[in-house]
Amino acid sequence: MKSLRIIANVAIVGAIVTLVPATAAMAAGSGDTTATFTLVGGSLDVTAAAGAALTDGAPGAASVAGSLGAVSVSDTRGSTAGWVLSAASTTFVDGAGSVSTGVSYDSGATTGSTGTVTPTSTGSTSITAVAPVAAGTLASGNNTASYTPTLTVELPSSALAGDYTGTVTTSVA
Amino acid sequence: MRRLLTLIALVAGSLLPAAGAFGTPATTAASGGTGIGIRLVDAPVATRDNPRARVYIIDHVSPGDTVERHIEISNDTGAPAGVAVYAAAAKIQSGSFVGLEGDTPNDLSTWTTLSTPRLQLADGAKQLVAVTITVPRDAAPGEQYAVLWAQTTSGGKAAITQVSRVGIRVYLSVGPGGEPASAFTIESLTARRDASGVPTVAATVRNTGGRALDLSGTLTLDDGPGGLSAGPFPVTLGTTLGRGQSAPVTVALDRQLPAGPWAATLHVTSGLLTESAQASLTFPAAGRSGPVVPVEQHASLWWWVVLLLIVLLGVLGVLGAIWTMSRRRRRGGRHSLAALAARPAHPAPPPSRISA
Repeated sequence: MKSLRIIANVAIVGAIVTLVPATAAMAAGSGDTTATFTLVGGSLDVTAAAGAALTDGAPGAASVAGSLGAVSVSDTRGSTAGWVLSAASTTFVDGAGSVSTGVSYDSGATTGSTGTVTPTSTGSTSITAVAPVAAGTLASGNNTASYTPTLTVELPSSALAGDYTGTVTTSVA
Repeated sequence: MRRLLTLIALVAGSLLPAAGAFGTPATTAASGGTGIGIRLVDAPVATRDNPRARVYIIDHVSPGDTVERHIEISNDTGAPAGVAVYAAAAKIQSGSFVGLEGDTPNDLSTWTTLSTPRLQLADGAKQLVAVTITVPRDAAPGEQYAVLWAQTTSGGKAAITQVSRVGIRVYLSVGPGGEPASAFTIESLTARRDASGVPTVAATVRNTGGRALDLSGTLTLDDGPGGLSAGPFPVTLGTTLGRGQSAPVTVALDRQLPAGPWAATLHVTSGLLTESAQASLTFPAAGRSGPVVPVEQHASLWWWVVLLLIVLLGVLGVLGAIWTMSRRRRRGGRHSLAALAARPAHPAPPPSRISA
C-alpha cells in the first residue's frame, strides 16, 4: 500500500519535471543552485552616433559649441522601469597643447517621443565628471525618445588657434 | 595591463580619435534603425513576479557563490558594427542610477566576466553573451552596483569622437543567509505651489531596508471641496534610492485644482513592495505648507501574504504532529509522546529507545 503511494508520488514528480520547459537552466554555484527562466521582453537601444564637429571659435573666444546630432533611445522592454541618459567627456585638446577648462552638455527638449513616457532634460550640465543629462520617466510599456544635444567646450583665456578634439560618451541604462 | 591600456586609450582618445576608446573597432553610424540594443535573456525563477528583476540583474548571494545570466546584444544600425561588451562601476547619485566613466572598476565589475568582450555584428544580427559573476569567499557584505555596457565608437576624424553605450543595471547584494529585506517609509507630505502657480505635492521617501529601490507611484485626492475627487496622478520619478538615502518625490497637479482641503493618498512602489500614506492637504496661495506627517501608513499586501503563509505552515505542522501522534496511539506505540507525557515524573533512567 505504502509502496504504491511512493510509486504514484514518483510518477507525479516525474511528470512535473518533464513539463518544466527546457529553458529552465540550472546554474551550479558553489552554494545553492538557482533555476532561471527565459524572459520575453525586448531590448533597450541607443542610436550609434557619428562623430560631430565643433563650430570655429573666433580668436579669444571663451567657448566653442557643436551639435552632437540625434540621440534616440528605444525601450522595448515592456516595463515601467524607464531609463536614464548620462554623459561624460574627456578634456578637449588642440594640436598645440591647450586644454579646455570645462565641457557642458545640453540635451535640449525632446525632439519627439512615442509610447507612454515623459522625457525630461536637466538642461545645460557639466560633464567633466559623468552626470545624468536626460531621463525617460513615468514609462509604461514600449517607448522611444529623441534628443539633439549641444556640446559647449570652454576654452582657457590663453587658448591658441587650433582644432580641439575630445571624446564624449553617451550612456543609457 | 588591459585596464591600464584602456585608461591610456581613454586619455589619449582626444589625441587619437580615429582609434576609438577601448580600441573598439570604429563604426560608421548609419541612419535608420534603433541602434545598438541590449536585452536581459533570463532571470531567476524566485524573482518571477518582480518587475524590476525582468529588466535588471538583481540578486542576493553568499560569498563564494556564482551568478550566471545571459544578455543579448543586437545591431540595428543599418551597417555592420563593432561592439565592446564590458562591466563597469555604477553609483546612485542624487536619485539617479549612473554608470561611471569608461570602464571604471569596482569590486562587482572585477568579479564579472563576459564570454565575448568584443563582437562584430552584421546589420540585423543578434548575439548571446554569457555573464558570470564570481563572488569571492572573502567578499565584504553589502550591496554593489554595476552596469553591463554594450558600446560603439564613432569612426572618422571628427573633432568630437562619440562613444554610445547602452546597458543593463546590476544590483548585487552580498551577505550570508537570506536577502536583506527591502523597506521604505513615506516620512512627510507637503503641499506646495510653485512660482507659476502650479500645485505640487512633495513627499519624502526614506529607504530603511537593505537594498536599493527604484520608485514609482500614484497620488489620489479624495473628499475635496464639494466632494470632489482627483487622480490618480503619476509620481514624477526616475528615482533610485540607495540604502539609507531619502529623496523628495514630487507630483505635479493641474493648475485648475481647488486649494482643498483634500484627503491625499500616496502609493509608492518598488518591485513587489508598496507603501501608502494618507494625509489631509491644503494647497497654499503661494509657497509651501508645512510638512504634514502621514496619518496612516500600512504595509503592503505582500507582508500580509508572507504572514499568512507562515501561519498556515505553523498550522500544518501542528496538524501533522497531531495526526502522527494519534496514529501512534492507535497502534499502541509504547513510546508515543502521549504515553511519555502520562508517565509519573520520577527520576528514571532515560528510555533506551524513543522514536521522535
